[in-house]
Amino acid sequence: MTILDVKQVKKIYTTRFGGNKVEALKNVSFEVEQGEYVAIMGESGSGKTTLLNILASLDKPTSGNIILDGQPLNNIKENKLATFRRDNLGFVFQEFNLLDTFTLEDNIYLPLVLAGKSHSEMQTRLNSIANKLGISHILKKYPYEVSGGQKQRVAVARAIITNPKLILADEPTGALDSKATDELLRLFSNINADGNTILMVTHSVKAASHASRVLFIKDGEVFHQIYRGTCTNEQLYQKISYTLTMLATGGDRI
Amino acid sequence: MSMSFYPKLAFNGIYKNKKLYLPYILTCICLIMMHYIISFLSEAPALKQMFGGDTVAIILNMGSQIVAIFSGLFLFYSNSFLTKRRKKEFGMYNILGMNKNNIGKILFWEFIILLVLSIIIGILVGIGLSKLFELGLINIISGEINYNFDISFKHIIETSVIFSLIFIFLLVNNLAQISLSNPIELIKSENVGEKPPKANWFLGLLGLIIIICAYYIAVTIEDPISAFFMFFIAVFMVVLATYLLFIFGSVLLCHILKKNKSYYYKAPHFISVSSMSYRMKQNGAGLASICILLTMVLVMLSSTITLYIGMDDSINLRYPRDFSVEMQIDNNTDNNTLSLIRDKTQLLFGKYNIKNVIDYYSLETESIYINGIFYNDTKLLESKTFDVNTDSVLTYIIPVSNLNQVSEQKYQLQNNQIVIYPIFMEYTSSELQMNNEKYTVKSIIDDSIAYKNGIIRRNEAIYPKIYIFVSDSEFSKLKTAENTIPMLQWTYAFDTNLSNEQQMNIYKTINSTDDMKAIKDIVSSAIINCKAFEINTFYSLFGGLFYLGIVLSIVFLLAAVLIIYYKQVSEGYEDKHRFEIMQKVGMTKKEIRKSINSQVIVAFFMPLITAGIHLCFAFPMIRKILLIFNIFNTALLIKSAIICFIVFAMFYAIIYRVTSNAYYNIVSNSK
Repeated sequence: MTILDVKQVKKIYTTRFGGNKVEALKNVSFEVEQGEYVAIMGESGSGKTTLLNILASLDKPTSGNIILDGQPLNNIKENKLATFRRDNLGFVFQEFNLLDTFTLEDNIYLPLVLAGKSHSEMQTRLNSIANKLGISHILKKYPYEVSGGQKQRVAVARAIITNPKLILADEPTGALDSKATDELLRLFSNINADGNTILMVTHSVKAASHASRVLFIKDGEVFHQIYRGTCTNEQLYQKISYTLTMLATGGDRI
Repeated sequence: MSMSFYPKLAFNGIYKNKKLYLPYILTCICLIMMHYIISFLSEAPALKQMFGGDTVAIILNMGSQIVAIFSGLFLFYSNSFLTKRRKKEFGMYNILGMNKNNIGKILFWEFIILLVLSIIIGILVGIGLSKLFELGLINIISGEINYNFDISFKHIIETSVIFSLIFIFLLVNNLAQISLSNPIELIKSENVGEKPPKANWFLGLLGLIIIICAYYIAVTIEDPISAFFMFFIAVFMVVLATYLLFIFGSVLLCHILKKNKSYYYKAPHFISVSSMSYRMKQNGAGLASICILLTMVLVMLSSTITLYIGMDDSINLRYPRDFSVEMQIDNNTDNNTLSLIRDKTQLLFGKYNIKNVIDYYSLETESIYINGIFYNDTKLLESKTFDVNTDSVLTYIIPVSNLNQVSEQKYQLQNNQIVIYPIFMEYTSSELQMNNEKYTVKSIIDDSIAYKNGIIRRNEAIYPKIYIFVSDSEFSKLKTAENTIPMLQWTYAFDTNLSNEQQMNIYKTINSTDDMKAIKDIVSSAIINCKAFEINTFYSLFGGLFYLGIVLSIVFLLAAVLIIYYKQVSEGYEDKHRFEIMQKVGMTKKEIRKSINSQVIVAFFMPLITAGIHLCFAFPMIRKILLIFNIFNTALLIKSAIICFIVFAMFYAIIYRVTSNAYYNIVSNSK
């Protein structure tokens, strides 16, 4: 089943006084199936972050449409967007984006509180994922008291506790050391195995090599994609590296 | 490097941060202006010529020192806030290759620019407004207006030197801070992780207990004489409790709310409660200071206004006529001497067209009032046990014929009948026993007419008193009663057709006239009171205080406003990041705005509301202390307190509107 359908999305930024126009996304189309784990790669300036912001409904495309689980995002009214985001999407950011005024537990509860869930339900939900994420022992602590890897796992917990249709991850390993990166990627694979759909934007080859499919974006277009097929992580890593080299040296379409 | 490089950089630094520096410069200007005006007024030529000008000058001189000290403290506070914001910029300069020396030069030029700008504008505005303030002051203390425009170079220099010293101190402090930190610290100084506030049960509850005790003291104080001392104890307790409650009590309250899961995990409460405890931890002290400033200003203004407006009544109660001559005469003085004194006094004032004469003798004793009986017989009292402090009643015995001369009511009394008027005591019985003598109370004078006759007076003392009017023969008998120590007093009071000015001139010269000297030879205690003189003394003293109260209120209020503004701005920068995260997690803009709004409103209006509560509880005390100044007009006090509070609340609300706009601009990122 197709969970996300991106149709000919185009995004043009105009500078404040309407002078220069910058085409961040030219024409992006792809689909994501239920339960897939998709990585989107590209150099800085290729438009990946713009794409993610549009998928996250934080930004609007200039033209084209995005359909999430049969619902076109264009049709959602501005004031309903936040609620839509809260109910359907889970986010993991490079900078964790945890609120320092809350304990980790309360940070995870935040989307549920906003959705008006009861405290007992929140607890049940958290209990079922806390162990898996290895964060049960730090729930009462504050963000500044734990390591970056732990913060990111809390952010993952916050993303999946609402049972979102799609998890969007923006450079989730960007601020982590290599050990924490490995742990987090294993975690992503696990939650993907549990049936969560993940869309991750990254420029780390290592992170991308855990995905089931890798999309490459260059100059605002989907330039290429690789399916994992039967490859191991290492083999996929090789393929991605090769593709990136080709992209960088300006080879033609492979 | 050209000479103008550093000044240019410094100017840019200020200009780019105008959101922060504009209010700062405005405050400096206002403080400098106030300081100049107050110190100018303290030696204003117009004031010197005025009667009572000396008192006002001393009060104002004190005021200018208060403003100077306050300016120093306050500019230090707001400067530390500015530096915190600018550190990042200096760190960047440092990394780009400027050494601390260069940064020091930039800072130096910034201070020069700020100082010169504020002093020039402040002094100019001060000079411009000084005449206006002078007229205001002269009006308040009822002096004579002149239209000379004066500039005091002495005070221009004095004010400039004081503020330059303050600025040098600030500069040194800033330089020390910059040179002690490395560039990384400078850059990161803004976002150092903050520990979550811990609930401190002991201090939080202590604050609650102290405030309850202080309120209890304030409300239950009975005796206004001891209230004066208790007032200070209660004030001290309230100040302490306010700080404890704002800093610890509020965090504790948030903590308790957090414990209540079904309350805490609701969308409207969730964000507010947890951010509130952070906000209060950082700002508790600042908000408590604002609250105390507001309370001080409110109490000061409402009581001085009441005092100022009510003093006319109070003086009229004490001095019912323009002049009064009072003398204590030996009880055994023969009638010839009495009429001699009377003749001489009438001669003294006879040429002034006197009218509304009050002329009476009175026996003044301190009786002991126990078991419903008044005693002033020392023999009888020997066998009684009593407490002089609580049982004594000032007793005035006056011949009823004296009263009949000035009262509309004409009383005819037998020897065993009396007419009474009790003050600060309950007496409703139809009988009155004095020593062994029993009297029938023929009438108790009605409150509404009691003070019209001019014989019954209220003094500032708040002891219980009773006026007893007796028949003339009974008066003669009591005058020479055995075992008593009454003092015979003769009072002769009257109005004149003279202007206040003329009355005061008479008052100043009368003691050196031959007639007065002759009277004093016979009765050394003879004194003359002049209402015009008393009023004038009062206005120059309390008018000066009242004026200073208003001016200082403006200064304090200005400070409170700036503290608030800086709080809003700094919180804006902190909340901006949270605002973004919450939006990403799925909070609607409306929800965020609502949550932030409620927090800001609470933080903003809490000091005002607390100050209002403080004022309410201080009310009984203020009322009782005003009684000492002979102000009995409670309605006036309530009115002026309410008006003060409303004016403040309105002013405060306007400031809130303005500053919260600045806040939203920062948070919502539109510059």
